[in-house]
Amino acid sequence: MILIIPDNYNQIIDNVKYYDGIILSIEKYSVNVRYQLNLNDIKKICNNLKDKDIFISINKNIENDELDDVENILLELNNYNIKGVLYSDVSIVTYKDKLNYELVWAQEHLVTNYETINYWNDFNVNYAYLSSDITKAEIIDIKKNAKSKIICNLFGYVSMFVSKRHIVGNYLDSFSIDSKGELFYLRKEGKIYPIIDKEYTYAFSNNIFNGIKEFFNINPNYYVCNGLLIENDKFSKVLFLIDSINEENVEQVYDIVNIMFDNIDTGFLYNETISKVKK
Amino acid sequence: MRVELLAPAGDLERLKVAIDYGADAVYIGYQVLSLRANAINFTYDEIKEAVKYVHDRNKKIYVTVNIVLHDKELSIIDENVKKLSQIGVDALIISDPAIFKYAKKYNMEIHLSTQASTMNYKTAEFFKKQGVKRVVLARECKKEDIKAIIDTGIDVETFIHGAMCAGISGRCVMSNIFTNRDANRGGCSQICRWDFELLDKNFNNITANMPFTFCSKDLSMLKYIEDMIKIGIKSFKIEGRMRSSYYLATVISIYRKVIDNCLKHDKKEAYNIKDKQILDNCSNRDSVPQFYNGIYDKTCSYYNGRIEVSNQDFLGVVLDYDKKNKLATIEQRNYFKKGDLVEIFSSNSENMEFIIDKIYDENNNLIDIVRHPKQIVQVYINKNVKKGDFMRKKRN
Repeated sequence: MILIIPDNYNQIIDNVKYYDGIILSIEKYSVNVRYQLNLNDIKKICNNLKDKDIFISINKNIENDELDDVENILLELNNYNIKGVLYSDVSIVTYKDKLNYELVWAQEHLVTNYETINYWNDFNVNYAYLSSDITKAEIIDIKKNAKSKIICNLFGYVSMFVSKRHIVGNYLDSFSIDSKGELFYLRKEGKIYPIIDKEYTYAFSNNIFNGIKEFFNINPNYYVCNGLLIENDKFSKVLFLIDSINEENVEQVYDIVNIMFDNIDTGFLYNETISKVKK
Repeated sequence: MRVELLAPAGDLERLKVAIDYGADAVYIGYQVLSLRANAINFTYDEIKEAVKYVHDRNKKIYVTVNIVLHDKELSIIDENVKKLSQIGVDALIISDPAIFKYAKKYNMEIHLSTQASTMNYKTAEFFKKQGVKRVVLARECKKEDIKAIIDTGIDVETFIHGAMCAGISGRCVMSNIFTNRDANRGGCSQICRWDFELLDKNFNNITANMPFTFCSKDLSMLKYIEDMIKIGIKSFKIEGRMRSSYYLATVISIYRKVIDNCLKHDKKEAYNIKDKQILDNCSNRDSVPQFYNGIYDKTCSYYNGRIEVSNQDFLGVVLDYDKKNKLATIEQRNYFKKGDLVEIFSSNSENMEFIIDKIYDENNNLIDIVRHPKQIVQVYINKNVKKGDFMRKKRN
C-alpha cells in the first residue's frame, strides 16, 4: 500500500490512481512539509478521496497554549472519515479514547525498536512510522516483533533537523538581508541540503531516499513516497513506476528511479550508524 | 524550599569535584546505555565507587540510560537496570519508555530525559501516570509552560547552564547524515556548529559578513534563579558531562552561591555581573536565557564573527603545598606573571586573593613569567592551599 505526502495540490489530483492513501499536513501543527492545509481543505479532500486511506499529520511538538486548539482539531477530525493521525507529541495519545480513528506513532527518529512500538500499542496506538535511520535488517526485525502496523519510507527527502528557532530567519535578520520565502538551501562540500523556515525550521537530507530495491523484502503495511521538493512530473513518474512494480522488475524500477535523479541513495538501509565513538 | 543543584560528571575525578564544589546531586553516564559516547562514561565498578562517594556525603546520583534503543539493545536492558538497582543508584534518566517497565521491576525512580522533549502539561500528566517521578523538560519551554507542568504535581528539572542544541532533542540527525554518527545514540558530531553556504530557493548565494551556521549561544539562567525557585522547579541542571574539572568547579560554585542566597532572600548577593562574567569566560562563549523568557531570536544565535570572550582566567591547578616554606606547586594552564592579582578557588574555604610575588621554576630559579602550558612552578602563597585548588585571575 502506497501513501504519498504531497508537496502541492497537483500531486494529490494527478496521481490518484497510483496511491492507496495520503498523508495531509495541517497548518500550524505539522513540520517537515511545505504544503499545509486548513480543516476545510482537508474536509474537501476527504470527501473527494473516499476510497483512499487518509492520514493527517500533527507532528509538531505541542505547547501548552496549543493544546485546546489541537484537541478541537482532533475531535473535528472524527467527522472526516480519516484513517488516522500521525503524532509526535505524546499529549495526543491522551485523547485516544475520544477519537474514532487510528493513531500513528511518528516521532521520526525515535521509532527504532519494537518494544517501544509495543509500549505505545498498549495505549491503542496501532501504527508506527519507522525512523529513516535504521537498517533493512532492523526494519524486518521490528516488523516481525511489533504488534502495531508498520509504515516505512520508500522514496523522498528525509528529515534531518527540526527546530523551534528560526534558524535561517535569525541569520538573515542578523545581517539585515532581505530574502523572501521560506525555502532555502545549504551547501557544504558540494552537497545541497534543503532547509525550510516556517513556524519552525526543518532541514532535509541532501539525497533523495530510494528504498525501492527492498520493496518486497520489507513489505510493511504502508510505504510512504514523499513529494517534497520533487518536480510534479517526476513524482508522477516515480509513482507510476512503483505502481507497476513486481518481483521481476523491482531492480529495474529501482535503477530507473536512480537514473532520474542526480542526488539519490539508499539512506541507512544498508549502512548502520555509528553509535559509540571513543575518543 | 530546598532545590537541587544537579551537576554532570564525565568520570570519578570530576564527580568528586562536582560534589565537593556544592552539587546536591550528580548525573553520570553508564557505558552500556548512555548518550555522550565521547564522555568517559562510567564502568559498573566506577558507578559503585561513585555511589559510595556521593551517598557518604548525603548527596544523590542519577544514571543516564537515554540512548534511543534499537532492537539489538533490548536484550541487555533488564540485566543492566537490575545491576544499577543493586548498587543504590538513586534514579535512572530515561528517554525511551520501553525502559520504564524494567525500572519499575527493580523499584528504580524514573526521571524522563530531556530527549523526550516534554513541552506541555498533558504529556507530563501522561508520564506521571506511568510512574515517572521527575521530568527533565525540553529546553524550548518558556516560563509559563514550566509553571503549567509543575502544576500537574510531577517534579520538574530544567537546564540552567551550558550548551544548547540548535534543534529539538531527538529531532536532529544531522550528525547521522553528515558523519554517520548517530546523534540519538551518543555519536553527535555537532554539525550545528559547522559553517555552511546559504542559498536562496533559486540556488543563488546569500552572502553576509559571516557564514551561516545553526549554532546557538549557550544557556545561562543565573539572573533567573530566584524566579525559577519561586515557580517551583525542583532541580536545576548544569549541562556538560564532557566539561573539565575547572569548568565544573566554577559553574557549580557560582550557582551554589546564587541558589543559597536566593533561598536566604539575600537579593543583593543573588546575582551579580561579575559572576556572569566568570561563567562566560569559563566556557569561552556568550550565554543567554534562551527560551525561558520567550525570546529565541537572532540574539540567541552565534556566528563565527562572535566576540570571543577571554578564556584565560584559569591560571593553574595546585598540585601540592609546602607549609614550611609557604610554596604552592602549581601546574600552569594559562599565562601568568609576577604582580598579577589572582585568587585561589577552593571547594571548602573562602576564595583567597593575593598578588603573585615570588615564582620559582623547576630548577628553583626565580622567574617573573609562567608562559608554558603545564609548566610546573612554585608560587609563594602566605596561606594554606591544598591539592586540587584552582588559581584564577581575580576580577574586580
